[in-house]
Amino acid sequence: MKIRKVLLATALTSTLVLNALPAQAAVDMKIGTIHPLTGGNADYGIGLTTAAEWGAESVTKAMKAAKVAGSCKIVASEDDQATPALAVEAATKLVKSNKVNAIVGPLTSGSTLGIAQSVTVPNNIVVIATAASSPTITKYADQDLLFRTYPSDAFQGKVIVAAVQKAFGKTVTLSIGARNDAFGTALANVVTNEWVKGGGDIGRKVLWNPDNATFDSEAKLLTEGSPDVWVIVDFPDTFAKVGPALVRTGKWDAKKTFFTEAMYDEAVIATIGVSIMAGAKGTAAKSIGVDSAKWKTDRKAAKPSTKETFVDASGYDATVLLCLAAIHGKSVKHTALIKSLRAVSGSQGGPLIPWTKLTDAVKAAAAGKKFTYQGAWTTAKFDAAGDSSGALFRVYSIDAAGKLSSNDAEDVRF
Amino acid sequence: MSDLIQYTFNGLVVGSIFAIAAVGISLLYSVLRLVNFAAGDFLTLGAFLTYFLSVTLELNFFFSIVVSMLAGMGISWFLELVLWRNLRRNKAGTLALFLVATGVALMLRPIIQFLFGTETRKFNIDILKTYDFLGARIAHTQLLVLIFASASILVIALFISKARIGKDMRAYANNPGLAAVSGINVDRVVLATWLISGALGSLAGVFQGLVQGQFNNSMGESLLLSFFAAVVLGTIGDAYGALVGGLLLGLFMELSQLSFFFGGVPSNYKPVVAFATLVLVLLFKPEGIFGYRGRKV
Repeated sequence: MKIRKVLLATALTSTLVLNALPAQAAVDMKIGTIHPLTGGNADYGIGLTTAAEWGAESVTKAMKAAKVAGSCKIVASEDDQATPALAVEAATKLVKSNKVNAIVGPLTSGSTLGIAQSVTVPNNIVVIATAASSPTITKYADQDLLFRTYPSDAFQGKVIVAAVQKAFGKTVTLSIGARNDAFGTALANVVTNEWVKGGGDIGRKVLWNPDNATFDSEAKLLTEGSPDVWVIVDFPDTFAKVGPALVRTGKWDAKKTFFTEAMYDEAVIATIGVSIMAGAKGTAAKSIGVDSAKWKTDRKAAKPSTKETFVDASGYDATVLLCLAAIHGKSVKHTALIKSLRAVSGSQGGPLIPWTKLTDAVKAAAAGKKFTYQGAWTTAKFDAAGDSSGALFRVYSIDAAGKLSSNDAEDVRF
Repeated sequence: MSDLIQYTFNGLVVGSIFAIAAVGISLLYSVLRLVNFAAGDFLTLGAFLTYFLSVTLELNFFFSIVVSMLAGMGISWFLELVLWRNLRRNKAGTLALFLVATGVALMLRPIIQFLFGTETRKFNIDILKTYDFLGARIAHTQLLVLIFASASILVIALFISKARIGKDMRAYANNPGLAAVSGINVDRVVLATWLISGALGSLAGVFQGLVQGQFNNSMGESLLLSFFAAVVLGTIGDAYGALVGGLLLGLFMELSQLSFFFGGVPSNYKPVVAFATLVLVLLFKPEGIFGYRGRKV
């Protein structure tokens, strides 16, 4: 009888103690975003920011469904107008005032390198850039704190050159015009090297400062020597000024010009001017994620008023990966996040879990398992430099009405 | 030859805009010892207001420019009455005035953004139309700007040298104490300086919007350093100097790309050319090009 009482008391005490303890310590992940919400790149920035917000909301919902304690929130979304100086200010505010654990964004390479150098690396903050493509980012000494979900221009440079070679031949003269920043100069160098390697000649290589008062002299230089084809690496707000100057030279032909992903947006083409852009071609990264069409439909239902561009899902995946990493590492510390980002992104293998099964992904992360998150934009499998593995590019054309089209058969995969 | 004409023309267009903006900055400094860091934002405001009147409200373009200049004058007048006059009465120093001007700039930017949005804008003028001139291609908008900017520069120069208020401004800039005791209405001089500066800021903004073809709300801010360089090159506080400094700066920047200039300086180094010119001039004439004149404005 006495033994039964002791056993009963022990069982009751154990139950009470176990119930009082949480199944897992709650992880509250605070993320900030930096994108251009105003200015010429605002369409991209607004799309990426709302996609990131939806990503955080989706993970928090999945955490509740999976009965995993904690939350993943976007605590502040800052506007950098695609300007490095403003990005640094925004990152400082996010780190010092909002006390974020990680940052999603920026959009541009210049802003990404700017915040890494001045704010995030010195403060041990993990960053996943959403559309920064400069190869310089791969080599940047970031103490493993800088990741990206968008493919490097080391790929895009090759795709542009291949597309030009296919359209105009390998031995024609190519002139390159690029904005003088991390994105423009790096991609212009990749294109130059690839083009020369392929046996072609470089006519003029003109770099312009985005802050120039006018661009007529740059346009004149770029059209000198009557090259057979042009490659232009620029952002919409600057090309809105360069484009008219090129037309005014009377020597430039949009039909002989290739752009990058920055112009892969019909609203951007309309702003610059359909009469300027009609007939041009370009290359743009394409989603290698799963169910990307479903993602667009679901996102439209979840965030109906937002602007949409081709790259939005990159912001969603970046946010989801950070949230899953926090759950996996059971910590928001940078050391845990870095380790866990590779564990959940597929760098170390593990079963495939698509974005459509976020609850399963959260459960796997909470159980500390290694798995491969398949995003709507990419399956990141972050490499040693923090770059996402693999890339897919489309070659697009702009018709006389300013509409974009591309042929899947011409897509280039790495 | 056609290249020389083309780059000279491009340089004159850029330089004339620098000159008009710089003269407003220079006048303010000479009369009030104020480094107007908000000058760039007055440019942006002028361009956006003209856009609003001429494109959104579909008013006549030239009428819109005049209204925009009047608005620039009105805002300057308002700021003088509520802000600058009080700061002067409280004996605010040059640094304090500079910081307040920076604050005004930081306030104007979101206001412009709030009122006119952040989208890229363009005037209802054909920005692609060009004329052939001795092998050079001259844009219609560039020609318009050069004609009106030249006329404006002439009017400014005549105003400062011939008009009574212009002479008063020169006298006050040269010796404020003596000007005050000799019967010059100081408040009137200060107000006139602000009105001219406000009008010129708006005008330079419209010109800049025209030659760029399209503009956004960071237009003026990005050019501010070039305006100050023009002011320093032509001698700080000398309005004639600012006019010449602006023109020279624009010409140097554009002509540096010609092959006879060390094989042609790459266009991304244009700012380097501008500031190297400035440093070189200051090495030999630390007071600027017009420093010998011994008087200001």
